[in-house]
Amino acid sequence: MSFEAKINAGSFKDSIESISRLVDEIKLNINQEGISSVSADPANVAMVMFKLKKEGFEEFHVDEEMTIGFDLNRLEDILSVASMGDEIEMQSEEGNQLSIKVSGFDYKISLLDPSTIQQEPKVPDLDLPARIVLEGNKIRKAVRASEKVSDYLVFSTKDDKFIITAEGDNDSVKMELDESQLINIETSEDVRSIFSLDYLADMSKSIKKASETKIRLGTDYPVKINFNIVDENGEVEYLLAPRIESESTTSP
Amino acid sequence: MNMKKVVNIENPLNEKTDELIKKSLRKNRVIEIFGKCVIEYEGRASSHLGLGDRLILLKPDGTLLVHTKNQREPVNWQPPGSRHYCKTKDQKLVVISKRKSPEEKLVIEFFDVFSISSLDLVDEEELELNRSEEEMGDLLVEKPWIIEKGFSVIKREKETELGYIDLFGEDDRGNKVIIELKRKRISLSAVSQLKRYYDSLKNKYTNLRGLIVGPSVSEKSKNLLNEHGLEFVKLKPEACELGTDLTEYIDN
Repeated sequence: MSFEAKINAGSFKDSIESISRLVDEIKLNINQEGISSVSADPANVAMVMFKLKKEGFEEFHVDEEMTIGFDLNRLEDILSVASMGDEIEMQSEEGNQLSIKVSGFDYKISLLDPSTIQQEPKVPDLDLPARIVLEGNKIRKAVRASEKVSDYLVFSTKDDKFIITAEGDNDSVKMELDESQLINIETSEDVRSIFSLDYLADMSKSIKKASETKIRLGTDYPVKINFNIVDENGEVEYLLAPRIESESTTSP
Repeated sequence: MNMKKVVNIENPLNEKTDELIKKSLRKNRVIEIFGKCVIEYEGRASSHLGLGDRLILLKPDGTLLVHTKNQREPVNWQPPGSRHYCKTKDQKLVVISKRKSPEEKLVIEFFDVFSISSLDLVDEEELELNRSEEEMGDLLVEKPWIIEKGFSVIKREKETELGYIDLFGEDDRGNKVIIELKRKRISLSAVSQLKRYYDSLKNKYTNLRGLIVGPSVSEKSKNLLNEHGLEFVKLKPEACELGTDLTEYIDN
């Protein structure tokens, strides 16, 4: 069982970061098509589905399908020595050790036993009525503005507008985007869901790099946020559970 | 069951007093006992206070004050960090306060208890902290895999000589695990606190593990944890307020 690949450092960093926003360890599936992983944060509130096709690599070779376990923090420590333009060479024989050559350094890291990592979560099959496509940067701006005011925000649509609002004890902020400010919007009904900024803040750091982000939204349903990385060769999908408004907010 | 802000019993029965004191200590309340008692102190010196009416104040941080009718200063006291106990001996209520370095012991033997009050003193800032840590506990009871795969919770608020441990559980190899929950970044004193609990129990359980759970840990605290063979698990208190997770959206 062996795996060998060469990839641009910037591409690999972007890929790893998009996942490490939510989790510290992953099971990475490697096959003839490329690499992929599905993981959920420990509280099962958010999920990240990641795929990078072999075309996203300079060189890619795997002899049989394999799964390896990564400690993402360790991987990021190693990648931090690389500059965007550097090339990374990775190689693993049996799947318990990975050798990484980057920026003149030769690393050998122990991989995690995949059976010790959280089971890959079941991905909910959701048919969400609203589809909004916009620049990733706009999401990041909305999240940052909302953070100053509250710990959650509301994504909603009204007719053909996408609205992001956040309300704190004293202040509130609202961003209304109509068709001219969006790449596309398609809704069969007005929708509204509330999300914790804690997760969105982390996710938006990866989302902001995408020129196009697709959001699928419902009412009191999880939100799906899709975008490409490594040109069109990589795909990231975030899924985030909503917060449900309850009638009483304080405990007795 | 939540206790009232003021619980007061006049001329209580010994069993009631004993029960109220123990419950109040568990719930971080302030206890006030008005009774006729004899006090023995052993420590750097020793002293004996004969039978008389005294007002005793017990605080959750370990402070104990004994006041008589006159004078500003308490006639006996113990500083924060001391440990309170109570028991019934020869049908009399006995309250004991102990401390190490220096070793000191205060024994208050009540011949009559005229009134006992259990008071809930609340500091807004403290409330937020306590409630948050309680919510973290709630979340971990509901989703113990957040700690690690195969972890199970045995008990919350496990009583020990030193105080109450937030969570007591078992890993998938049968090793017992003690867990402290912190709402804020793990400090050196939080690590020391865990170490004290760990030391007091490590002889009782083979391969005992000690774990601290919080949103983040400083480099120094992480090093201290490693030095002591203790562990850190990241959990943001915000994760606990969410109410829904993605597993609720899976059709089975």
